Amino acid sequence: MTELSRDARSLVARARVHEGPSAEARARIRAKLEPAWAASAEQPSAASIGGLRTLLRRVPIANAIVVLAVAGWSPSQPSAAGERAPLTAADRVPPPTAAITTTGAHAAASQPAKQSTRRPVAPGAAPLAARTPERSQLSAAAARVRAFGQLGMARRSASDHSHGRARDLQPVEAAPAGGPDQDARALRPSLDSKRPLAMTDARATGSTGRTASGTEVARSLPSATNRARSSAVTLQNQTAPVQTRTEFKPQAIDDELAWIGAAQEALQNHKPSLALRLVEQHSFRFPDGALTQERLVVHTLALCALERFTAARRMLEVLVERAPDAPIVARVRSNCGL
Amino acid sequence: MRSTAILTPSQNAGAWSADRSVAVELHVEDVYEAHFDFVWRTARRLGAHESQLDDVVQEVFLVVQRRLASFEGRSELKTWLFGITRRVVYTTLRRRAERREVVLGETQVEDLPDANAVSAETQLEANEDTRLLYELLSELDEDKRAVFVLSELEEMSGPEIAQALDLHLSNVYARVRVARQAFDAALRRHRAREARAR
Repeated sequence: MTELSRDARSLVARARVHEGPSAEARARIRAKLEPAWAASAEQPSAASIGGLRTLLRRVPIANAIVVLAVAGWSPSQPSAAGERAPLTAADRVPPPTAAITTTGAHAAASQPAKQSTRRPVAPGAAPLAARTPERSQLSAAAARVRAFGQLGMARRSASDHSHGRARDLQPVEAAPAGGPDQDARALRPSLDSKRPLAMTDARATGSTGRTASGTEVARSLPSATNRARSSAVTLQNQTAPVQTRTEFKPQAIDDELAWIGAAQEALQNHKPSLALRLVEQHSFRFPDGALTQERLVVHTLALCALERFTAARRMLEVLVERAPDAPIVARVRSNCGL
Repeated sequence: MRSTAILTPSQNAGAWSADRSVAVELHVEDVYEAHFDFVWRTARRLGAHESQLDDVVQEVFLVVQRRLASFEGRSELKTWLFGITRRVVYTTLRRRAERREVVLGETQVEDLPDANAVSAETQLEANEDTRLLYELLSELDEDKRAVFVLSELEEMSGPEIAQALDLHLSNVYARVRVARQAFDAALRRHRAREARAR
């Protein structure tokens, strides 16, 4: 590799000696930041959230069911929640919790209503499933997650296969609160026949896409949708106090959806460069967002469309590392010819 | 919400890396104390004007505060910080450029050097070598500049640079080579100008 010239090396070495901030600058900027730190310290610690997220990420997908209780927020919670549209009474569920069971993905997928582990809920708070006997009033947050399925990035759980036909796309807010099963019928891949980088072959694979019954199923990725849906099942028999709020943030999901949805749309409209910029923006804004896996898919496809196959291959490796068993991996690999 | 990450300090260079067996909370204050110098230097090297440095560094640590809980340690904290700093700097520079275009011909008070802001940094930059380094860096485009900063000034390895800039390793080496050539060329031009001026 070309080395720097001696003159340049000497200059760099000399400059580095004198380079750097003063103690005054350090103190001055710290003084500006301390109010923000103090404000954040007064709020509930996110340590458990960060730790939980880390833990959840580290549980092998094939051996664990990650269950996120995506409940709304309590009426007393201020700020961001207060700025949003008013919640229905059903949305005001007790502070959510998260639970992990390690019963095995296949067993759980085939018997989603059977849970070997019973998890607690706050005393005095009705269990989520008890208050929503038909799972018809999952939180608004869960509805937003399901909306991602409408973008075609959600994967239906095995239990969803037995339900009806796909409906047309509807705005999230307009979607009836018909429960996960009903909402699952609204799931459909947005990456349908119009998309340039064919995901349409999924319909012929049998494992993905349109099922024999004609139900168009978005099951390309293990998404938060399934986690949200599963949470209703898992929380069914909980009895002990809830200790933590999950890291699930409805506003963040909304924002993430906007970015990923726009990127998908750009891809559909034969604008892979725009799609690439959008996923990069998503990557910056949500470096560890709930839709990171979905972003990786769009990112890979966009790179393929731009014929940047080396980068696409690298991105695919990241995707494989993150979700080795996801069906979308094979589809992306096939579509890109990687 | 208090921002924390579950990390442990690694053995080298005061960096932090993930350790799955031992978990330690890392607070934004810790990051500030450990990496303020790095963020400040990086911002300056990437082109943040002296008068913008306070705001840029402050913004970087506000972003860190928001994002720290989601930092999993899959990359070194330093490369993660570099990515944030880089984006904040470029955003700031673009905003500044856009403002200048919009108010073309009008003097922007905020663009003028602030007499009160003339502090120790200014004096340090008065050092000829440091000033020349920043001048030469400003002649590189954004990509070359970032690569040069990481490879020659931060002395990061190829894989670390690849991680920081989201590049393939082979691209990193190619870019480092091109960046070095560009820097050398800029220095040669500078020396030539100096010689003519004498």
